[in-house]
Amino acid sequence: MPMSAQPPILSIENLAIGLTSGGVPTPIVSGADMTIGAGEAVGVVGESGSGKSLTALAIGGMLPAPLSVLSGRIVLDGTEITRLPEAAFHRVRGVKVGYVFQDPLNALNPTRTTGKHLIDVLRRHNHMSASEAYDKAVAALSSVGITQPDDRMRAYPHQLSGGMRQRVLIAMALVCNPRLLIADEPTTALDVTVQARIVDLFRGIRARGISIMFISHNLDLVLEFCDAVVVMYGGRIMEKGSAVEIGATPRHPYTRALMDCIPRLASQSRQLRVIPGQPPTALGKLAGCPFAERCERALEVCRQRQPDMTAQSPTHAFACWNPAPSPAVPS
Amino acid sequence: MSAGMTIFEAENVSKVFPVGQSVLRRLWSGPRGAKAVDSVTLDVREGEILGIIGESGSGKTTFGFLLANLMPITDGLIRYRARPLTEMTRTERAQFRRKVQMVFQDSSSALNPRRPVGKILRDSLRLGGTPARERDAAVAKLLTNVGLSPEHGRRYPHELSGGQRQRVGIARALAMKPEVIVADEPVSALDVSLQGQIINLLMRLQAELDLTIVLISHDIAVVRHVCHRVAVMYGGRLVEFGETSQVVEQPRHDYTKRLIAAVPRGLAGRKQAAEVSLAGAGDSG
Repeated sequence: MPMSAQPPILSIENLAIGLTSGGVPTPIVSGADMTIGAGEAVGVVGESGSGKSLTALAIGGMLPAPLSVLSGRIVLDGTEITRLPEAAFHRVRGVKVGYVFQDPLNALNPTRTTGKHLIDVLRRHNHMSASEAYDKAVAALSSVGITQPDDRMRAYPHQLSGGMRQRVLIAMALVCNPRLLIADEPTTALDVTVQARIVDLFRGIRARGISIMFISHNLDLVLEFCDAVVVMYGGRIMEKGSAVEIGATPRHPYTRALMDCIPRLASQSRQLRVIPGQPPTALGKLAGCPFAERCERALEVCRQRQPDMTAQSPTHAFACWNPAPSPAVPS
Repeated sequence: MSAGMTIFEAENVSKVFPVGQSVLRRLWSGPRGAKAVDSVTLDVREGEILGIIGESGSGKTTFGFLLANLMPITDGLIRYRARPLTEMTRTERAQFRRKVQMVFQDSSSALNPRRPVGKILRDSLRLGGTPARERDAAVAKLLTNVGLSPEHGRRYPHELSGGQRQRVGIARALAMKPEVIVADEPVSALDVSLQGQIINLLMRLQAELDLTIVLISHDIAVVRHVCHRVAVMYGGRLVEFGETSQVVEQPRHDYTKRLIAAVPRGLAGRKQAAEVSLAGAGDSG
């Protein structure tokens, strides 16, 4: 297990993200605590609007305009980066942390070749000659499993398949050797078979010692290869633990609901299990657990007071007043 | 389930998209180019949910468009209730347009952003022949039927979530009182947690309204839950076709096997994955 005495690559402590209007802070994400060790892959799971993407953006100082970090700390590779000025973030993004986003077509410039994209990143962050950058770019493409990298350097985004574009983005994110790779739903727009190959690529990246934050709404996908899992909902962490703990003994009803609603091949039933209702919209949540309204185990207290994190083991904790019994009985 | 009569028959259907050819050359040497659908033969039975699966580029969406007569076929024949699509008269075609409805993947671009949901549905009701004075009530009923409230009729598409928009897309299809719905990846843009809601909705409507549904998807796990029969397409060809349980439990084609192997399996997929990556590491030294 990579969780050793080494200091973590990323540690987020009690992070709150939100907007301030008239001096009153309104948090959208709050109480976010997580660490990612060297060479560790952590999956962040939740529905749209759970705050997982905002947390990821905050690490790179990329929160969209009215939003900002309200409180808490982000420490990346031993340096606190919570309130760096924008200019200083240029030495963090792309260098210490690489990003891969969901939609590879929108993330690439349609008028520029693959090679141009990569060379730009390299020369932005390093002093190197054009030919040196070219060679590095070719090497980066082949390291993410792109065949004939020399030819692909000249290809425009529209000439590449979805899986190939995602590989180009991953190559861009890794080309300056960051310690951490943040991938926000990197496979959601892809076919299942392509998704499986991209996930294999992520396994290889982790094997090279690069830490990964893998954001997804599919818990099964995350459990397949991440070391640890953080489950978010309504801007708060509902449960976190090692993949085995979350997969085998989930305690939070939301984690179990997320698991139950995935369509599975083995299942014989025709009806799919669903989580009733909609995820909450960002604002207007005050007292109580954000999941209470959709939760089948909700009690009176759930709507009134926010539950604190309860430790189940040194690595496993959940925030719930009425958790599912442990050990979980497979339903 | 009255899975009986054949509602659609496709015989050796092909679709070729001409690539880089002048009109004259095309006339001279016949259509050449990208063969999106290649000699597909299959039938759709009345009252069933038929799944068509395959990856992007497999021709599954094009085939759905051909079934719905949204583009002409290059070769072969499609019959709807024994009547070839190409031989339909104007009136028959107009009727067909009402009877066979599509639900698209991207609900945000499939709905007019400048019209509130209620108006979008009223348009469809008008085209479907519902008299003007009954339309308001019909809009409310449609919205309720797909799990929304009549109040949603006043909202614009961008004010709805992805799942709600997809429900509107389904309501719009229902406004025509269709016999067949061709749903092209109706849930692949949605969160896993919402996919089930939409799929269960389609299944309920199918049973209540005696619909026939052609569900196009790349997710064999979804198809497994919902579809009576499944057609697997690869590279424009139909590579496997049969009862869903048969195809999933005893896949014969390599591509079907790969599709099944690619479905994430949570912790169960983990041990296997560890073995795979160890083997990979060994190979590369």
